[in-house]
This record gives sequence, C-alpha cells and structure tokens, in this order.
Amino acid sequence: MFEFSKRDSARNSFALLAFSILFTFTASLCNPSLAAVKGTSSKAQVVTSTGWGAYLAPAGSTPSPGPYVNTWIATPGTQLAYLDLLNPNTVALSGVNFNLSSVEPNSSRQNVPRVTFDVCVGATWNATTDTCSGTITNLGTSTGGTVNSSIVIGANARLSVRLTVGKTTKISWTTTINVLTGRAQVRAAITTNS
Amino acid sequence: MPKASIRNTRSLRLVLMGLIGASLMAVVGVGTFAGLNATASASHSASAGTLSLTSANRGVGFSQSVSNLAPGDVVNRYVNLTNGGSLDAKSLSLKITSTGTASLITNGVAPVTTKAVTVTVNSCTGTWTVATGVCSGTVQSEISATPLSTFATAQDFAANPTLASLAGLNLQIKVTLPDQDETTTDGTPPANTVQNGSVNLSYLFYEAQRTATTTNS
Repeated sequence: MFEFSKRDSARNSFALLAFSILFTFTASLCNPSLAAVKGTSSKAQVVTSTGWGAYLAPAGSTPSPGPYVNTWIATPGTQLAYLDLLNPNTVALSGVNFNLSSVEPNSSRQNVPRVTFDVCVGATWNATTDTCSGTITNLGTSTGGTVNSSIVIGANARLSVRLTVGKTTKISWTTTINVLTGRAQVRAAITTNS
Repeated sequence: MPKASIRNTRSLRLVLMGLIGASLMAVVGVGTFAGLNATASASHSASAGTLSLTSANRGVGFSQSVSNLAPGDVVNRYVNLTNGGSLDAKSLSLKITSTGTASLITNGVAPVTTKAVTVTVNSCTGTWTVATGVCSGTVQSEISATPLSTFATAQDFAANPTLASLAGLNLQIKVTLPDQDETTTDGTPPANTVQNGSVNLSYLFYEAQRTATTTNS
C-alpha cells in the first residue's frame, strides 16, 4: 500500500509539472507585453592620440629619453659638445624650450658657465672640424634658466646641436639641460570629415 | 479494474486536465483578437512585428580608425541608421563600451586636469556632404559632447528619439580630444597623460518597439 502511494504521487507530480509548463507557455503567447521587441546595431572603432616632445642626446649615441647632463672641466679655452635633438613622435614641433641649470659643489655660484646653443640646419655638425655644411642657427645663450627656441623639428626627425661653453674657471661644473615641449609647440588642432 | 489500470487512468486524467486548461487559456487569449464571432468558418491570422536596426557607413564611417588625435582635433564620421523592421521604434540611444588608456576614457579628477575623448552625435534632416561636413537640411543635436566614460550608460537621442518603420537617420559621429595642455620633459610625458593613448570603442545603437497599442476593430 505504501509503495503504491509513492508511485502514484510521482506520476501526479509529473502531470502537474507538464501542466505548469504548458500553462506558462500558453500564457506568454497570449500576452504580447511579454514579447517586447528590441533592435540593436553594433560597430567597433579604435581611437588613438598622438604624443609630442623632444630630448637631447650625445651625437652618435643610442638615444633614450632623459635630461642631458654634462660636466665641464676647468679649462682656459672654449669647450664644445655635439648633441642630437630628437623628436621621436609623429607630429612636428614648432620649437622647444631648453631649461638649463649648472651646479658646482662648494661653489658660491660665481662664474657660472655660459652655454650657447647652435643648430646645424640641413646637415650635421662635424665634431672633428667643428664645421656645419648646412646653415648655422643660433638658438640662444644662457647661464641658467630657460632658452626658448622656435626651431622646427619634423616628425621622427633630429637636429644637430652644438653647445659652446666659454672659459670655465671652477674645477668643474655640472650642467643639466631639460627639453620642455608644450601643446603650443605642436600643430594647431584640425577638423577632419571622412 | 486492476490497480495498475486505475493508476494509469488517474495520471492520464491529470495530463488531459492540463491540456484542456492550457487550451482554454489559448482560446481566451486569441479571443481577445478575434472578438466575438459566431461564424464557424471565420479565419484569423496574427503576425508579430519586427525591429531591425542597421547602420551603414557613409564615407569611411566606422571602417577606419581615428588616429593621432592632438588636443582640439575633431574627426567627423558619418553613418546612416535605419529601422528596417515593420514596427516603429522608440527610445533610440547609443551606448559605447571603451577599453584602453584611462585618461582618454575618463576626465581627470582634481588635481589631474586631463580631458577624455568625447563623442557627439548630430543628425541631419537632409544629407551630409562627407567631404565638408555640411548638412543639406537642418542639423539636430542628438547627443551633446559626452566623455567616453559616460557612454557606459546608454545616452538617449534628444531630437529624434523615435524612428518609424523603414525610416533612417543620417548621423554625424564627432570624435574629439578636447583642447588641453601638457608639458613633455625630455621626451617623457607627464603622469596621467593623454598622449600616445589608444582606446577601443564598441558602439551599440539601440531601439525599442513603439508603445504597445490596443486596437478594436
């Protein structure tokens, strides 16, 4: 008797389940509000931004971004250094600003070295002969602070720069030159339709 | 009658009850459409409406990347959005999922002042001349300039929230990197820079069916 009730109950449960499924399905067919229609359309796109900036590196070296640092040893004559000014980006620059500072340990900061920037436009400085087969453009001279230049540097281009330091009377001076580039030194904004 | 036979009969009875009940529901539901009609030979058909939203490029549209944006740059792309379904649509909106450089997606929070890429959607009552960006009719603002991060939530079309069956919208999708200044030192951009970034955008245009109607006829 017990076994009979158990089997009977299972069959009844199955029947009720079948009824419930059928009821739900039928009810949904009869109720349009449950079948709201949507439409979508999807597309993909990649957006990239450009970068700007430049840096100095010793001429002929493997360049890497960073400040240029040089130590001048006391000498009665003029000292020269040949550098590359590199623009590794895809936009040209209409100029750069050099920020120059010199320090000498145990110094009262007198006789700070005077540094002059000259660019050899269209060619490269010959370090052996100190000559430029292109056009020499002077960017400025400073003992410290900012030298603003309007020299144009093309995209992915480099300029050949010569630093000239006059007589250094201290035992040594360490000069650090940072190259600063702002938005104003990049091309103007453009609107494109395509 | 044998016990087994009684059990089968009871189960069969329950299943039949279920089928009858469901059939009654179906009859009642269909009756809503059919109305009261005693004619035995009457026939009735009902078909569901459809919505089909498609976007087609005009010009390069979404088929090409937007590359090398400098601050202040604007790139306009053009697409036609069409409701090819049989139902009128409402609640037109655009959602953009963005992944990539964070500063191009979300505006900086003070003291960071970077401004993220924005997208603007305009429609033209006439047609756009792709080469010049000139609209032959009236330009309508659908979505004003909005940072990518905000598009994580769908933004509703303002001027044309509805789109009739088989109708289209001529859209201008304006991608902008807002003007802003950054100073790069020795070739290294500042922290949180917008420079040399890349973002993958996934546009999702959306429409919903028009409001359901009850018709007596």
